[in-house]
Amino acid sequence: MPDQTFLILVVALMMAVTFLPRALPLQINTEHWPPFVARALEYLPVAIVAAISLTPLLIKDRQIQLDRPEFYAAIPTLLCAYFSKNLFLSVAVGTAAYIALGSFM
Amino acid sequence: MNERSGSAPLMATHQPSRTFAEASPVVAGYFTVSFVFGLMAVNAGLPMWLPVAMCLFVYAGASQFAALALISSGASLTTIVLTTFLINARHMLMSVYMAKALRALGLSRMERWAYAGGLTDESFAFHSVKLGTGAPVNVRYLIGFNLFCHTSWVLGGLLGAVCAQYAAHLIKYQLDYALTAMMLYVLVSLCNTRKKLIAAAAAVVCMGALSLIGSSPFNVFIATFVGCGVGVCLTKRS
Repeated sequence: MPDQTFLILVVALMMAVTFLPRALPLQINTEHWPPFVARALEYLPVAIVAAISLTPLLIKDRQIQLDRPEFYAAIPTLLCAYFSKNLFLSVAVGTAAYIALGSFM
Repeated sequence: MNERSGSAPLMATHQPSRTFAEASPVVAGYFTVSFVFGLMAVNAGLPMWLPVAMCLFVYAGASQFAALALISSGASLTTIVLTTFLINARHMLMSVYMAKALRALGLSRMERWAYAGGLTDESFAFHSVKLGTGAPVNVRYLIGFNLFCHTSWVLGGLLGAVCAQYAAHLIKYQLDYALTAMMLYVLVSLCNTRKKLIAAAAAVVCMGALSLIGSSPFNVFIATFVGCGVGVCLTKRS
């Protein structure tokens, strides 16, 4: 087991390098930003959420691997989210589908 | 706080129970994932305070699991810290977005620091949907939402660490898919126009192509810029 001092240092430094990127940009004064930045920022949430949520479902270990429960369970989840517009139902359907598929595949 | 009477929807979002109800999917998802984190940390032979301290002070899922693997394999401090920085650097993008999006709410400097402490993928995703719909949002709602999520993250880690010797078999239930399902729901909500759908598709294609070459923390930056770029081009045309 690594010694305590090392572990305390790990936590302290991890905190610093995680918190600062979260906090510093928020302190910027956005008043004088050019309008095209505002237009680009409008698409930031959808672009980043799509990139971080969908890609791991399609690709694993540098290969397109669709034959996995993660990918198949995403289909009923997306359909449920689109048609029901209900978060709880979508999460329930997705998790249930994932567990069910996991026991078959 | 000077709350004006007559603004009923605004008042409603002040209630902690209402905020908790809206945060509950994230709260439940975080609890499950950090419970597994606590289990894994103690089972890897680390002291019980470590997963709890990480959940409290670091509060970033992917990088905590990466750190666990790195500590177990005897990696150096520099490697662990640099990996953490790179994995979490994507939050800069979210923070820049929020700097602009939250401007209308007139956050004080202190409130900005407090909000930043709770900025995660999931809270960012939920808040950007909320801000996008034009629903009444205030600082107390946003920070309260984050506090509920953060608390459940810490409690999950603590309980996982405490139960480590009894509950190791629970890992196989894989309830962490709840977080993926949540992000997919948010993605559908965010794709409310054709242009946004195309921007999302561009970001995924770009991220996918980059991930095939190699997984790097910079991929998400490039993919986000491409997605935003495509969106801006579409806006100019119409």
